[in-house]
Amino acid sequence: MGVKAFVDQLNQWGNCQKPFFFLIDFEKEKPMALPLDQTAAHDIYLQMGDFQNYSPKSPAAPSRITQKKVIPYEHYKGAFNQVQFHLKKGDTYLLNLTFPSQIDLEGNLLDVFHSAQSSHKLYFKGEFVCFSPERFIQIENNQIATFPMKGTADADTPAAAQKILENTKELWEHSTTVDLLRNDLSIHANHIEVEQFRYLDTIHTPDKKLLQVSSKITGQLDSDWQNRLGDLLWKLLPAGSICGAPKTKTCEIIAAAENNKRGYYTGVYGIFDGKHVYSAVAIRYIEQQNDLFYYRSGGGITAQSNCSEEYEELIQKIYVPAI
Amino acid sequence: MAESLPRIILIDANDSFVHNIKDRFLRLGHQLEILPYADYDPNRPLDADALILSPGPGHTSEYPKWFQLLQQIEPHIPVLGICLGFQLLATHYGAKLNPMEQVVHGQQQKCTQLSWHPLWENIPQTFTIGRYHSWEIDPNSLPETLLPLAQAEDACLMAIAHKTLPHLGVQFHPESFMCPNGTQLFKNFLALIPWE
Repeated sequence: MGVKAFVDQLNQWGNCQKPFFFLIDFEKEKPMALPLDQTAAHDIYLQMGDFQNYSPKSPAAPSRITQKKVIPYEHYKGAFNQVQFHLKKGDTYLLNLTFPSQIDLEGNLLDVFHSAQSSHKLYFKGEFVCFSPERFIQIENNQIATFPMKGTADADTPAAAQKILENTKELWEHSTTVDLLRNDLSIHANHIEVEQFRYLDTIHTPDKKLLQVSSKITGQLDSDWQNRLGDLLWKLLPAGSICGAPKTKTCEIIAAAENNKRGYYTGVYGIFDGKHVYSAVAIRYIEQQNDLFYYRSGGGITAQSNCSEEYEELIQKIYVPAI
Repeated sequence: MAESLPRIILIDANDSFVHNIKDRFLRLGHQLEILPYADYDPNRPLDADALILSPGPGHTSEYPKWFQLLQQIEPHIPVLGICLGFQLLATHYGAKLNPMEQVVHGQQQKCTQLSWHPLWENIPQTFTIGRYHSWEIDPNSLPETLLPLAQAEDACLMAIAHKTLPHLGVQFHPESFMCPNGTQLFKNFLALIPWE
């Protein structure tokens, strides 16, 4: 679907309150949308809050990742140093650096989809599965809200919650993301408020519990927002939490440092149910290429980042959430 | 019909915080016109009652058209430079920029006023700011024409004003959620625009 056709289609479906599903890649090159009732027939399975288009199945055993082949540290360090150069030069204030890791899986992508415990998840045509803990935007009754997630910690370490909330590097990174997302909502909305700043969620994985730090930012839209839903979504992207600030320059640096298109990873997906919009950022993402599986992960890099800690965070985020 | 308001143009150095500035001005009942740096043509005079030079990535030397603009504008037009825009104003008047040993991105800190100025009306002597920068003005390079107005906890210069013209700059980000006095600061800037 071409960009203009996509945006026009969403504006039109929004205008006539037709429910639809949408998926937009990080590079904004291959957006797609379908009427919501046609998703399952197109081999797309989705859970978005209370909405499901499939019958839940219990796999024989929860899907597990049995092997990880992570990018070599020296390779990661080269990209990290490239990003540090630009941080010191003032070209970027925060940059999300990600890489794919080859993994071995028990089961296939559909098994992962059914066994992953997440309020937002997507299985897409045998190409990828994603079980995102991060909501992107939600629009209910002319109020737009976004929930940027920045900060991950192992919940089982002593005083984990206190440590991550008191960590100044995490605070600065999170603050930058909040200012960025305030800006993005301000493109369309007024009366922007940071309603919750750095609240904690717990995510269960087979091996450990993780803490995630998020904020809630809201704004008020004009009442005719549905008529320009396509334009509204398009101008919000890429999602601030997975690129960094300022966006244009930061995305140029990402393209050079990662040297590999992200595709639908770190894009967004969601639904319009005829009245409201619910969406998620496509992180925690496994893709299949021929017979091989790749898990994409990463984290935000700032001038205060430590290379080996960021590398560890990339590895720590390789998991399938399960109870 | 709404009363006519001053025309305020913000020149956007492709930054991702300019809509936060726009939102603060909207709360004060003022629209900002956002003009992307790439679209600004120095050969066509800007018909503005006030100008805002935005934050943005990189170094002032990457924005030659802004220096042309500052040479061309009517001197009585109020100009507010924010972050990169502040550095631009300062270097236009002869100050020098240094790379910082410790860059500061996304940090909330205290800022203290050094001298009185209408920009500080109803803002406490020490107030909270949000900082995003990796270059700083060399305080020893500040020309006689510029008055230092405020400094941060690390003594880094945070605000300047031209001694005779309505040209002001702040190194911090008044539009940040980390700067609760930001809307008041913009209100004080609006008060400097001659308007009837």
